[in-house]
Amino acid sequence: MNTELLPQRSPLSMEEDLLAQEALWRLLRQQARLYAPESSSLPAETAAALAESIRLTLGADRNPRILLAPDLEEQFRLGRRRLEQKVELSRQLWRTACLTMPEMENRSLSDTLRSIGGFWKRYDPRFFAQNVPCDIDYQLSHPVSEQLQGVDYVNEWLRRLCLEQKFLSQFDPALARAIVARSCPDYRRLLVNLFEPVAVNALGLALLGEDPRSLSVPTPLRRRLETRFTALTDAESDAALRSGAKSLCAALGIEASQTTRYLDDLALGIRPRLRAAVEAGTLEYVFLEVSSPA
Amino acid sequence: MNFSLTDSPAQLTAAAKELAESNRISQKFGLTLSPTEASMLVQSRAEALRETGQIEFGGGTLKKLALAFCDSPFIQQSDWANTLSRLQAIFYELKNETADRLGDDALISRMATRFNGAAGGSLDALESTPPKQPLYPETGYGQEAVDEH
Repeated sequence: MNTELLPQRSPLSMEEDLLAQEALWRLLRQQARLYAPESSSLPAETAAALAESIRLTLGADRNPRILLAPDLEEQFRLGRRRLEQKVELSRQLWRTACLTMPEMENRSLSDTLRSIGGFWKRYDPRFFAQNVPCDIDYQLSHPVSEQLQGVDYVNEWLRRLCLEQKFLSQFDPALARAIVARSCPDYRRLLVNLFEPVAVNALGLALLGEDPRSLSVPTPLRRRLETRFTALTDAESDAALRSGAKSLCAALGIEASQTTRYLDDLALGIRPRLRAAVEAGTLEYVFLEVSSPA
Repeated sequence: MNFSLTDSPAQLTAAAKELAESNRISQKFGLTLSPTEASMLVQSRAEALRETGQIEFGGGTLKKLALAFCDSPFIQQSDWANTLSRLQAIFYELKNETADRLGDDALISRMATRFNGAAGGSLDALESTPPKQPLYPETGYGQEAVDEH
């Protein structure tokens, strides 16, 4: 979910703001009584966390106007249902992520998936929906926005991981491993992304009209890329990279819009690195060459 | 939306009203609060909450304290308002120190037992109660602190 794409709603007037605060207080009192039925007070941090959870459940973080709804309690119940459905979805995404793990060892990926496996036991959508009670250390190519919280964050993270892993599954595992190892010899133990070196190499080949599945970018092909990008302005480089991303999708038969956008973002994201490497005189460390694995 | 977790004036009024109600019982033990004292206590309650970083939702703590302590042989009418003020500060401190693992009623009951027993009516002794004492009163935690007073 990309929160930047959500429509902006009109801000609350001063009077509406007070009414919204009063409504939030009512729900907060109710939740506080459920959370600690034998206590009339709670630490401010706990109270603030409960309030945050209510806002997230209602979607009031994006649309505070919902707090003015005459059927607020019903809205809150519906919000809870939505959260439960999202939790169910996260289980499915996690299973898919585990089943599609790439055939290359990476400790941070396996540790992260193991930790997410315990997410449902620790996640408490009734009171602390904003929490992410697991350790997510593996680095995605495109990090998930910190604006997303709780199960929304976990689901988006898993969606992106599944997308990256599905992409990797289109390549010969030994070749993909060789590319990742060339990019970072200690990839098994370090916090590195496995998708990006493979995707960048495949993009380089697609830019030249070569078969992206061959993955390795040998010196003659790399020289052609260097010559091509030396002559281009930033805007022209962006256009070329976007076009390369399209060719890559076409060559691999990728049609899912989320994946095409992801690869488009990847292509635009490497431009600064590409420019710097071109200025330094070689793309040797951007587009990698590996010998065919035995 | 600017949401603040501070007391609303309506909550303060409700607390003052509740306290006035507890007068009906405490006066049987010769302890009453004037409207000014009740109002002062509600204000000091707000301060105690602020200082201990607690937010009150249900209300009624002052009333419960008044009812639990009004039959103490160590409290005189002349100290009643000040004692209640100290008691609520101690209550919120202990709430924090016991990490909210005890409900209000249980904590107040243990405070009263200690005040009337080992603490010998000393608010200082009650205040220095180690957090483990209210949680595990049967283990005798905190006896050393009482002995110093």
